[in-house]
Amino acid sequence: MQMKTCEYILHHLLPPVRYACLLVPELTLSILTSSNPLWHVPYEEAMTKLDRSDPWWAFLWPGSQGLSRYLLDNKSLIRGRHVLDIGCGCGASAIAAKMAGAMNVIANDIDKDALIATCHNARLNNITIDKYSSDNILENSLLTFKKNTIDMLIIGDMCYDDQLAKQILNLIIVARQYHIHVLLADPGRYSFKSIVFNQLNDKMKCTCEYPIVDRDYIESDFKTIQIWTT
Amino acid sequence: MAIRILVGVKRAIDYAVKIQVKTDKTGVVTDGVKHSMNPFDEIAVEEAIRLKEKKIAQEIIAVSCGPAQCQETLRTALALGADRAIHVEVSGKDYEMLQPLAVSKLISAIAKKENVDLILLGKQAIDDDSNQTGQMVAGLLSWPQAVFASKVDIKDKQAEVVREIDGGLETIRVKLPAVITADLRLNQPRFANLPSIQKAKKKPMAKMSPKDLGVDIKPHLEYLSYEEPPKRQGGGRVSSVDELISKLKEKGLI
Repeated sequence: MQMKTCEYILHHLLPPVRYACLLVPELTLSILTSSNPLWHVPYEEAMTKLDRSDPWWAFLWPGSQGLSRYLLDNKSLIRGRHVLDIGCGCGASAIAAKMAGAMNVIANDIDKDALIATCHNARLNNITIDKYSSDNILENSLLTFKKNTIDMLIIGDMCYDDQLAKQILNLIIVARQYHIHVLLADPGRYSFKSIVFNQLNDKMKCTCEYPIVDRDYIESDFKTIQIWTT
Repeated sequence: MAIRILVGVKRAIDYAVKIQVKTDKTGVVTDGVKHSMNPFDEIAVEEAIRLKEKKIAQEIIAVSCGPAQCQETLRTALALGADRAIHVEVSGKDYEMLQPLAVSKLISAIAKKENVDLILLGKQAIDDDSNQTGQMVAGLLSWPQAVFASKVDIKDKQAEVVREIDGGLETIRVKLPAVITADLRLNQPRFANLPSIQKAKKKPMAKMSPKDLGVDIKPHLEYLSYEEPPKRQGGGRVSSVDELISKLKEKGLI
């Protein structure tokens, strides 16, 4: 049983980081960066300190960086929209969508800690997220689209294995049937190319590309984040 | 031309755990016991990464044979710097009976399939202390072997390896492709931090079965029993040399 709540971690172990990343300096987020000693200790020690083994929400992943930058740079595309951010993590993209003028933003993540982190981070940026959801949308997209008025779906870097890529592909197909505009970030993962792009081909285009410049996230295999739209 | 390396990693009971033999003597208790990457395999992984950092290697593939939990060990290898991982699934009774020869066949099959230039393994696993896999892989592939390596230098498709042997240090040169096993003093491995572990969860992990590789993993050795070493008996103190001599005579030792 976990003894430390997510709130505890956000308040005591992850101080707010202003200019959270080079690509999106507009955001202040309680995330783990290399300026935090927890970044540098062996992972078992970090997991013990955080009392969790899978804190995706404690990082500002390149996918989120790219999406956030795109949203803030293309306010005309976002203004007035009803946005659903699936797998919101720390909430950066959801927050950026609201900052960019979205009418309504739903932050979704199957990890409830991510929703707590998103709420905390939204507050740090003087933003209010309209709704939080922990539904497993990949397993039941129809229900989510029927329950809520959504006209834009934003998806971070989630196509990292074949099974997930297939689920994301199906989600995009259903979203299109509901005339929901899709924005997806991908650094060049094989499963995205071979499954999602392979199927959707002419129905999706790469509209933008950002370099991954943060030392914290530089990986030998990926150099840029691509933003795809339907 | 930068080489491609296959590194074998084994998930073994952590070195700090106090081992308990099962009451029926059929093995040791593994349920709920802390496991981690075999320490010699950590050294092998570290050596592979250093070769990649020196741009001598261009790709590191990590492989592990065993149950689903092996994926955690493979994630650690990915977090440390391996490019992709292969999990050969062997579970249940098959895993209990998985022996070095079978593992060697699996690793050899993958090495051929992936067309690697170098296989790096730990010299032995700390659970069975077999010290066989590296040697048998070399035999199965008819590749040269340099085992118990304490220093590795690779140049022009050859490896110059300093080996720790009973008489001291021996330096040999082997042509690639070859098998090298890591000994304790080869290097000091780095550790994986949390961000690298999370990043590794998105790196490619291929899964396959021994059947996919055309390997028969049936055991050839039968384990008869597992027993704890005899409990250490307490010693006694003597107050004088005379008492020592009489005690030794008593025990028939002099």
